[in-house]
Amino acid sequence: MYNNQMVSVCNRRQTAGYMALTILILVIGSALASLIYASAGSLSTVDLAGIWPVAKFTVWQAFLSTLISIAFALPVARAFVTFHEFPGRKFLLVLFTVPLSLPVIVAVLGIVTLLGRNGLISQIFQWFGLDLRPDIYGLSGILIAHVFFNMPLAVRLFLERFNAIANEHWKLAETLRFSHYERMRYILFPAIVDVLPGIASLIFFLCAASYSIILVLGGNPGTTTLQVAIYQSLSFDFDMGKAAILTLAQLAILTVIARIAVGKRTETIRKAYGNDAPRLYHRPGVNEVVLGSIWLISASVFVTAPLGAMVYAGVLVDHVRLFSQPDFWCALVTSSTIGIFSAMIAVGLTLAILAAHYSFVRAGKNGLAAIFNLVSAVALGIPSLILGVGWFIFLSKSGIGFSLVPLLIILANMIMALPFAIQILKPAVTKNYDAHDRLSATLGLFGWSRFWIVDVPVMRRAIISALLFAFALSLGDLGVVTLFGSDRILTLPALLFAKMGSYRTDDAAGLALYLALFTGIISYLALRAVDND
Amino acid sequence: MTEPKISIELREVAFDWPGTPMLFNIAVRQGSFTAVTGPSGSGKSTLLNLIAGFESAHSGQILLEGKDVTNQAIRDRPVSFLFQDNNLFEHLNVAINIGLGIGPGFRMSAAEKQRVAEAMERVGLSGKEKRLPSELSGGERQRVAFARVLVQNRPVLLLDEPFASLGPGLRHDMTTLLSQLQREQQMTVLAVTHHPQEWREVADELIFIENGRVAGAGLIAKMLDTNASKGLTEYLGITHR
Repeated sequence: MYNNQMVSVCNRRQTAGYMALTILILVIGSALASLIYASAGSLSTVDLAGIWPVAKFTVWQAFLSTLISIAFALPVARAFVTFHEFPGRKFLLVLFTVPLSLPVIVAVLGIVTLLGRNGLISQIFQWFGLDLRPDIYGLSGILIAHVFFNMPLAVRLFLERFNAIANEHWKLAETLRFSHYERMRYILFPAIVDVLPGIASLIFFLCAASYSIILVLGGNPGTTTLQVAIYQSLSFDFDMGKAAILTLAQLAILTVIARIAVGKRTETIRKAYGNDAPRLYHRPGVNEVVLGSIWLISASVFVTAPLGAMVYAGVLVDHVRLFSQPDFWCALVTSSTIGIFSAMIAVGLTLAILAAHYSFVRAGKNGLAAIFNLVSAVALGIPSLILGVGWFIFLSKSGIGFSLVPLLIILANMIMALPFAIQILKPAVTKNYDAHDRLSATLGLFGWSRFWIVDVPVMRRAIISALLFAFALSLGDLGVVTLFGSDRILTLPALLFAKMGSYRTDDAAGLALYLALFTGIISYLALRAVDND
Repeated sequence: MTEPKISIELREVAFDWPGTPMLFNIAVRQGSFTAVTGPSGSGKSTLLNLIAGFESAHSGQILLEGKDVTNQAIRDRPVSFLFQDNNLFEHLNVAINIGLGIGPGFRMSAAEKQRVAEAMERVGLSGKEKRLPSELSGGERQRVAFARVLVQNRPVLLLDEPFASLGPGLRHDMTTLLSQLQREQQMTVLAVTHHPQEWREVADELIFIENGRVAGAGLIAKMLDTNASKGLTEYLGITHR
C-alpha cells in the first residue's frame, strides 16, 4: 500500500514533467521549424555574401569586448583580494551586480547620457571651452557598453574562484617565504587558468548574442551584428527568408560557444550576496596597494558613472508630464501583464520539470533525468529574439496574423526566465521532496491537496523569489517586442527605445529611471527572498 | 647536566576570540614531541596559529628558539607547518612541491635536486617525482608534505591534526614516520590531535587545552594513565583505560 502510493507520486511527477517538456518542445520547435522552412525556400534568392561581413563583425566585436572585459576585470578582482577588508567592500561588490540586473536598454541610455554627443562629459568639456564631442555610435560605444556589463561579471566570477583558494595555501605562501611574484605564479595564476576559458566563453556568448546595445549604438553598415541584421531584414526589408538564414547563422555561432558557457550566468546572479573574502597573511607592498587602489577606483567610476548619469538625467525631468502620458500607463500595464503571466508559466513549468527530474533521479533513470536537466541549457542557449523571428514567420505565413503577439512575448520571456527559475527552485524542490515525501504518503496527501498543503507553503520563499526574478527579467527585456513594432504592442522598454529613437531625451531619461527602479526593487526582493531561505 | 633549552615559549599570550578569550602560558623543550589535545573550539588550533604568526597575540610574548618573535612576520619565524589538508599545490608535481621548501622557482641546482631526492627517499616516495598530487593517495600526499618539511629544515614543526583524514592503520604508520623524522632532525614538534592515545608511544609530553587555557600538561603516559586532569578524562571518555 505504502509503496504503491509512492509509485503513484512518482508517476504523477513524471507525467507533469512530460507535459511541461511537450509544451517547451512545441514552443521552441515551432519557431525553429518555421525558420528552417523559410530559409530553405529562399536560399537561392538571398544574397549570402552580404551575410559574411555581418557575421565577421559579430564575432570581432564579441572578441574585443571579451578581451577588454577580462583584461580590465583581472587586476580589479586581484585588488579585491589584496584589500580583503575595507569599509564599503561589500557595497562595491553589490554595485558590481547592478549592471547584471539592470535592463540593458536603461544602461545604454545611461552610457549615452554620459558619453553621447550632447552628453554630460561633452557638456563638461564645453564648460571649459573645449568642443570635444565623443562619438559613441559605432564600435567604441558597443565596446564600452559590453565592458560595462561584462567587466563586473568577470570580476565576480574571478573573485568567486579566488575566494575558493584554500586558506592553507595563503598560509603556506608565508611559511615557504613566497615573494609577491611567486604568490601570483603559484596561487593566483593557476586559479585564473582554471576559470578563464569558462568566463571568456560566457562573455563572448553574451556579446555575440547582444541585441539592444547594438540596436542603439550600432546598426550602421560596418557595425551591424547578426542579431540586428535580423531585426533590420524583418522591419525594413520585410525579407523573411533572409531573416531566417541570418537567424540560423546566429544560432550556429552561438551553439558552438554555448556548450562551454552555459550555466555560468545564473550562478553568478544567485550568488550576488555573500562573498567571503580570503584572509591574507602578508602585508601588501606599496606597489600592490597603490596599483590596486587605482584599479578599484577606476572600475568603480566606470560602473557608477553611467548609472549616476542615468539617475541624474532621470531625476531632472518633468515627472508630472511623464505620468500624464497615456503611453506610459499603457506600457506599464502591458509590461506588468506580460511579466505576471510569463513569471507564472515559467515557475509552473519549472516545478513540473524539477518534479520529473527528481523522480527520475530517485528511480535511477539517469538518462531521462539528464533530458530534464538539459532544458535549462537549451533555454539559455537560444536568445529569445531567435524564437521571436521563428514565430513572426510562422504567424505571417500561416495566416494566423498578429493577434497572438502578446502570447508570444509572454512565451519568449518565459523561456528567458526558465533557467533562472530552475536555478532558484531546484534546491528547494529537492529539499522539500527529501523531507516530506514519506510523511505525506503516510498521511495520504497526494496531488493538488499535497501541492497546496505541503509544497507551496514549504517552498514559499523560493517560489516567490523565482516569480519576482522572472517578472523583473520580463519587465526589462527589449527583445522580441521590437520585431512586431510599437504600434502593435508597447512595453516599457519598447516605449523607452521609441523615445530614444525619436530624440525625446527627457521622456526617455524619466522612463529609464522608473524602469530601473521598478526592476531594481523587484530583483532586490527576489534576492532577499532566497537569501533568507 | 645543563638545564634543557626551551624551544617554544608563550608568556601570558592573550588572544580575543569572540566568546572564548584565550590566555596561554606554555614552554616546550627543544627537540621534544608534544601533543596538544582538547575539545573542539578550545583553542588548540589558535595556539598553533599564534606560534606560526597566522594570528596576532593581543598581548604577551612569544619566544621561539630563545628569540622574541611576537612582532615578527610569519616568514621570519623558524617554523614549518603541516595542515590536515591542502598542503600541496595541486597543479605542481611532487618534486616541485617539495622543492618549494628550499626556494621558489622551477630551476633547481644539482645540489638542491639531490636534497629533494634524498628527502623523497627518506619518506618512501622515490620514483614519484613527476606525479601530480591528484594521482597520490592521502597518505602519500602527507609524505610529500613531510619531505618538504625535511628540506625546509626549520627547528620547529607545527602540525594541525595532520592525519585526521587518514584511516587508523595509515595513521599509525605516519605517526611512526613523524616520530623518526623528528628524532633524526632533532626538531621540536608541537602537534594537535583528537586521539592522544595513538601518540603515547612517540610523544614526550601532552598539553590539554580547555576554554582557551592550558588545563593540564605533563609527560604523556602520566597524563593518560593517571587522572591528571578531570577535563582530559572527560574529553577522552570513561572507556579509556
